[in-house]
Amino acid sequence: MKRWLALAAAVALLGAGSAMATEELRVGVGAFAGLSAPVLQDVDASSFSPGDALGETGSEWGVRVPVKVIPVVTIEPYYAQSSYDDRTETFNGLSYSREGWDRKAIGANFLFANTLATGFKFYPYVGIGSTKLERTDEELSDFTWNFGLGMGFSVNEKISVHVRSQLDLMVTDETSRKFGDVTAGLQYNFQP
Amino acid sequence: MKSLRWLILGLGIGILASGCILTSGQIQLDFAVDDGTVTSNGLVGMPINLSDEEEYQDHKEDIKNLSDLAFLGKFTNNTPNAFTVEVWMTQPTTLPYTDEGSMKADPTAVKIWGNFSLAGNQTKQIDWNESAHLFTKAGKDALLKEARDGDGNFTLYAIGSSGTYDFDIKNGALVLVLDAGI
Repeated sequence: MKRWLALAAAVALLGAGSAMATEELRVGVGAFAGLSAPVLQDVDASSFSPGDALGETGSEWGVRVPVKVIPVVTIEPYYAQSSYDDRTETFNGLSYSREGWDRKAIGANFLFANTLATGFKFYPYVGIGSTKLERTDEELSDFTWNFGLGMGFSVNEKISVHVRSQLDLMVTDETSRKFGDVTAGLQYNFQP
Repeated sequence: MKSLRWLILGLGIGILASGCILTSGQIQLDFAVDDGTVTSNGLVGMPINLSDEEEYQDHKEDIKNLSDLAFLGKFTNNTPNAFTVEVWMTQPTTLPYTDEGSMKADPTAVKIWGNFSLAGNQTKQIDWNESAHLFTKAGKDALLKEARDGDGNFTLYAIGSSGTYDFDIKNGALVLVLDAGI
């Protein structure tokens, strides 16, 4: 599995790198915040309902640096951080609380739109990165895929607003830990 | 534009490769344990049968790992002496073991959890986070092997770690979170 993921990342970067000379460099910077929730994690099998698919939510914030160097695609390195609420459940008549994860993610998204241009944009994107999950005496760190849909519109030539929904797949050998995010953010474009 | 083909090809390979990780999740199962009093001369076997959970039966073939686990409950030390509690696992026997020596002599016996400290005459409900960290590596491996490759049928024994002990376990539960395809 990891070989395939590494190959995918290498091919994608090769494509991005070799196309750099074809377009004038444009750069922006953005900040975002929103909500994140574990998806299909620690699902109670004995009393499952569709609402249980999402775990305890948490806040999320982060920064992005969109770079437009090739046609059609905007490459966007990002850093994101989330903190999830504790989970409370009852087992055999007693109530217990499990500490929520703190999540830190770093990587790059490939947005299929020029998000540095003015106007309204509706765009899908795919990303690769690394995610670290931490709670007391426990730490996990793994390769991550992101998939998402974004919507952006310009306030003026320099400022745009972006709203996104995203699914993160933190690859843990043959399975994954998934997180769903909904965020809103502001982006500043250095070039008009 | 030629280079874009490589970019899209790369991302496409990644998406296809991630197909198997898309349809997976962490499934939580919990099993209640009967109340009991454990003494150094009288063990109490706690039978667990994972197949009691339909979800386990449905996804047994797709289990990849154990992502979290805990042994929970309220413990009461019935003596004035402090001691620690540990939990062992064996394959089921015709009659449950009633003494520590026989249980530990079972070739399938493995210490899976501990040590949980109890002060003299203390009653303590274990914390979920603390319990999760008390599982031994051998215990995690044994439980995963049992869940994935075994019949899901085993017996747990709580014992004191040394000397004379006498304690109650009430509202006990074993919680397993399986990494599995869905």
